[in-house]
Amino acid sequence: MISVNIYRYNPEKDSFPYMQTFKFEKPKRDIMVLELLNQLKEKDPTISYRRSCREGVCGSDGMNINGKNGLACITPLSTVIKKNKLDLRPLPGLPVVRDLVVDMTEFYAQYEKIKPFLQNDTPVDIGERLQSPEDRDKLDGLYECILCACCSTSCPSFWWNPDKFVGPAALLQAYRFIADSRDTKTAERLQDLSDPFSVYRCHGIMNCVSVCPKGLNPNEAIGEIKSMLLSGKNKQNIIASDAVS
Amino acid sequence: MIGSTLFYVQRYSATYLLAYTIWIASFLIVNNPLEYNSWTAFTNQIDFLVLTSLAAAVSIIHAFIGLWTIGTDYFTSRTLGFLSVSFSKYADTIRGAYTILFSVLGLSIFAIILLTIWS
Repeated sequence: MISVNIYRYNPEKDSFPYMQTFKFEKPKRDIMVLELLNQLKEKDPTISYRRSCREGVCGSDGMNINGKNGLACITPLSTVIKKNKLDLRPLPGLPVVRDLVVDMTEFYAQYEKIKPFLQNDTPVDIGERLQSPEDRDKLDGLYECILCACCSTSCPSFWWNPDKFVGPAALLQAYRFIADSRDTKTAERLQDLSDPFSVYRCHGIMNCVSVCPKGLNPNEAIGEIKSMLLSGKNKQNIIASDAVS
Repeated sequence: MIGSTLFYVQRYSATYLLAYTIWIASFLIVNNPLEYNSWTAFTNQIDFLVLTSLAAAVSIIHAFIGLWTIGTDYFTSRTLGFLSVSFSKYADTIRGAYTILFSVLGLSIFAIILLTIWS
């Protein structure tokens, strides 16, 4: 038998959150944590959690699994279970709506702040903005983020200042547009991140890298942004200096 | 822009303090066993007085940025709210008092160092 401890909190009924233990027959084949939750929900329909695609694409079921953030749908039970015990908690640092469901407002507010869309005021010549294969390659490892919030909610700097520190997920997306050869607002994007909190509160703890279910590296992207801020060089100056030479 | 400035100030000040430490350590190693006369001759020269005054100033600036960073991480309404909701209401006051405390402490230490080495 496995002891599954689930964080429970229903603000309409509970004064404080508590951990509820469920006994679960150890499955003969390995299953995902989400499948375990689905089976427990059949016994207790009041257990609340988000889920949708069940294949690591939608990013809905991010949660803290035995102390480490991850997606329940692509986390095999065998890889996280310790001494037949499993603790499931909501993503840390964000307000809990109910049980394993968190309020993502602060996370999305930071994402909105970095203007996650292509900005280019120049006229389009042939109906679309072309990009060389080399420039397109620079976006690999950046665009794949599914905004599950596992990284930002594992980051102590984001826990302390979720309103000021942009957080690894949104910074990865900020660099995705900074690095895009078709985007012409690099200087403005960097200017928006130049205060002491937005980027510089990243101290390279690298929890974001160790938890990312897609294997991305937000810390590297943050390092690139810091390098551009510190050197004063951005894509536009590099393109301009290339044109002069 | 201020984020980059603070970043550079922290790194340059740390580099200066490392160089200063190596300089002092080298003197102690070269003059081992240390005698009173050689130590007083060393500490009375103008190089020592100027570089040590600068090291004191740099230490205070370095510490101020570090402690300000800690204060704005741990003395916010959110972080103090983990301890108690009533604490969180006074987060700005607590952080302000903490900032005044380490500023006064830092300036006092700086003044004591200057008085000690120049008098």
